[in-house]
Amino acid sequence: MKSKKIIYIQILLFVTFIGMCAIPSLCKKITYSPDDYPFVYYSSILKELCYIDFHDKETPMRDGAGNLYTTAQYDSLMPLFNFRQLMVDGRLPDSIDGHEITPPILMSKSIIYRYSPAKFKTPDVGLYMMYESMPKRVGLELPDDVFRMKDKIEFIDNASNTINTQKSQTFQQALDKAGYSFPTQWVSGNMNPHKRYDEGYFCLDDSRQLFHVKMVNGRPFVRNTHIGDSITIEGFTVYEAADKRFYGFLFDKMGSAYIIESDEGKYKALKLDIPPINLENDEMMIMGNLLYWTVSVTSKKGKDIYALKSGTLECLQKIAIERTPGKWDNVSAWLFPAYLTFEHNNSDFIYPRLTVTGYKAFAVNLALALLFSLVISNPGKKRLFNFLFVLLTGITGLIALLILPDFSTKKIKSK
Amino acid sequence: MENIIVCENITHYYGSRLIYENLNFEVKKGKILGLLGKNGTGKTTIINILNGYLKPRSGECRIFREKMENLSPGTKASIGLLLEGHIQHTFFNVRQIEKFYRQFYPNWKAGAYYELLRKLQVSETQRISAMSCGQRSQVALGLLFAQDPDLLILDDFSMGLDPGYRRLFVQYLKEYASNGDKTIFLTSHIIQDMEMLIDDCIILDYGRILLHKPTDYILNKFKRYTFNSSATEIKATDKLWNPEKTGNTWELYSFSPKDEIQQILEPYNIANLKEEKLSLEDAFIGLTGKY
Amino acid sequence: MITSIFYKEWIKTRRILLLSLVVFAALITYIFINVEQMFRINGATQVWTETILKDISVLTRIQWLPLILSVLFGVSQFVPEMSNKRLKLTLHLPMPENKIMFSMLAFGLSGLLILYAITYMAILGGLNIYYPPEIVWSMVEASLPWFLAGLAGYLFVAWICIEPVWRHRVFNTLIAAYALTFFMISAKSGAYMPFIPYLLAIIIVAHFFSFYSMYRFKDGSQ
Repeated sequence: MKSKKIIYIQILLFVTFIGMCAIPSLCKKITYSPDDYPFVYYSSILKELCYIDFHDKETPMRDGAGNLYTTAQYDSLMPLFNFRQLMVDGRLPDSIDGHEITPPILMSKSIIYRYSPAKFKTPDVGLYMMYESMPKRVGLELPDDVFRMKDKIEFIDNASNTINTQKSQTFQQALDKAGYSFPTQWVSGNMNPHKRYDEGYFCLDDSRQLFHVKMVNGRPFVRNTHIGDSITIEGFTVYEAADKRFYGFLFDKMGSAYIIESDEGKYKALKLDIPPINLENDEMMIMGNLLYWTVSVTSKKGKDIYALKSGTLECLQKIAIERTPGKWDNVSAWLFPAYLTFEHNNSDFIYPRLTVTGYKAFAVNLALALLFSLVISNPGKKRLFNFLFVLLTGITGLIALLILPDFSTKKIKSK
Repeated sequence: MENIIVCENITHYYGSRLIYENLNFEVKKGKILGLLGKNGTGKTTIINILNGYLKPRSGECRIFREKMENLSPGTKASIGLLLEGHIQHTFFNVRQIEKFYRQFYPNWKAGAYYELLRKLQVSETQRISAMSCGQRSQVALGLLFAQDPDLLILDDFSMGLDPGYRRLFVQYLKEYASNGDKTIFLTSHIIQDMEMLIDDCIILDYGRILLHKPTDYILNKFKRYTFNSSATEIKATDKLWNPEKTGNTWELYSFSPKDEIQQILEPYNIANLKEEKLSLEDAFIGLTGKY
Repeated sequence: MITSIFYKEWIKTRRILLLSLVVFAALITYIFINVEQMFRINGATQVWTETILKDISVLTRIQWLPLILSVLFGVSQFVPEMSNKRLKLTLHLPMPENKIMFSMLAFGLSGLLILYAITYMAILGGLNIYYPPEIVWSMVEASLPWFLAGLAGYLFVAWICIEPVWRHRVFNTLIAAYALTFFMISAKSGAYMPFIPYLLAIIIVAHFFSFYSMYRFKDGSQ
């Protein structure tokens, strides 16, 4: 029957499609281990990037020349990283290169920021909380409303679940006055109520200008940063740094990273002196202290580590560590010409993604297809189909063929 | 006369076990044909093949000139089907099942159904799952009569019925067949009541048709012969069916008249040759053997 | 004639449908008693903040319910057809076989869709009182795959039940169980949206699977 055949093909493809994610994911569970890179940090004493192996209790630190250092040496060669330990030991120096060092200063200058592609690829409810940026009392107070600002700004009162018209109008007027054009592309802010202070939101408007929006003394504060004049903005993460030096991290379309500094009421983008990163796939980690920032960028090829001067963000040193393929890379390359995944490291969204591993797997497929069509005797046309199908889809297709009914009935008939 | 059912060269296996090879038969319009055979000779398999519920390894059946695997709705409407064990949808009650089937058949005779059921002392709201086997068989029969099909296919209708219900069933079938050009194809492994019902007989053996003859022919011609002989072995031939020795007395069956048997058995020094008329059940045993 | 098929399916499944309605109603009532209590004790500000910051949905209790009920529903519809091979009676009805199968599935799907529509109306009506539309929508988005799992689960049950050979029923069950995990991946609210068209495609394709089982039944596969 014709329709029976068509539906058989449908089921076969469906089972193969399911197999393309089930079987590889099982293999991955067995063979995968994450890439193992050493921890690298810039030593403010040696003035170079050094490797630290936390498992090594005797000599955890190694410099670029390969010299090993004991734990005590490591503490004092990286005083800005280990200042808490040095303080307890009473060995914290008063100054380094003429810069005064006290724990409060070090703490206020300490920066930890991690970029992962999923940061921008994540669903957004579209409701935000506007804190009072100049609270009368210590700490931030939860606002009793939330706001949306897709097509216009509207505050919704929590208790009554109705729009606070007056507040909405006040903010809408302030936005209009500042030249903000709806619809909003995205809104970036930090809604955590336990943060040190509030800088409100940075919103990209329809003309790709970045606006700073916050509430000061109950009044709207809206400024065009004008950063969009010179940079094609892709994404922004608000980072309320302890020393209030900057507002957050900005990425342009090409993948270059910037910080936005406040400059006497103006906004200034300062570029990190590193090559653009691939915003789709690369991860970036910034560990900054009073004098130096250590920036590591992990890509598919390996890990690049940069040391930047914290004031100007110019690059002082760069090292690259190449990635060594793991067991899973080899297994998948030989077994699966392609496989499917639904969850991804670089996105919070769920969708099917086909990863093509290359040509190697077709060698295995060919062997399977030959063996299969020689061992199992099916009538001519069917045999050709089976051969081609296994050649194309490999193990997953073979399993699909074997567990589906049509195949085994044909086998009995040909006896 | 027109052939209602035609089966040509049916060969079927279950796995590697042969069920039949090159089975051929047809059923003519207006006839009641009984397919008789011991358990496991493939009676139900034939019914399944006929209705398109089993694809034989090779061969073809046609009902009303349509191939069995693609019966058109119109043809299906003119076939009444009774499954082995009087299977029906047991989640219905008596009234619901009538309401369900009514819409499918243009000549639906609700009266025939309710008339039969009135005799059963069941309420109209009784669920079929709560009925006895006999009651269920009457529901199934009632539905068949209401459908008023041209061809009835009944798979082992006598199964699980006590003699009263069996007799009732047979009576209704006879009446139904006598009304017009109705054809009935049925299987059974209980032969007792068949004699007065079926016009033609197909007797199935393992893998083949043993005999396909009018019932009258079997009843008139097929005889049991007993005689005394000291012979230790008498070979079965197409004229001597199932010879068997008990003590000094031999017993065998044949379609041949007494004179001819006497002649054939000459070499065995026989004495006291007696001829007996047979019931259909005895004839069936004579043809298929006791084992 | 289709109404007659629907009538038969209704007689088989009405108890399960009623049970499903009662279970959904009970769970939704329970959910809203909880919501009411949350708002009373913690206050709207706290509840909204937690909902936005921690991506909490009050509907998570429903997650497995559509699937479980639709499997029961499918079983109540197709197991009676398969015990004693009663499907033979159904396929003997004077109607094209594909149309019979289609009517049976159409009954099931429309039954489930009506049930889900009623459920969603109750959920939407209730949530709109307490939450702004964005939060309501994000909760609904998060719950969509669960209801789609109900539809897919139902179609898979039909496929598995009508398949005549036990060994293949087991294979089909394994395949279906794995396919259903696609609907149950834990993700942020709204993260499923790009995947919804694919889930719908699975449902459309799965709809044909039962026909394959039916053809196999007709061939008398053993």
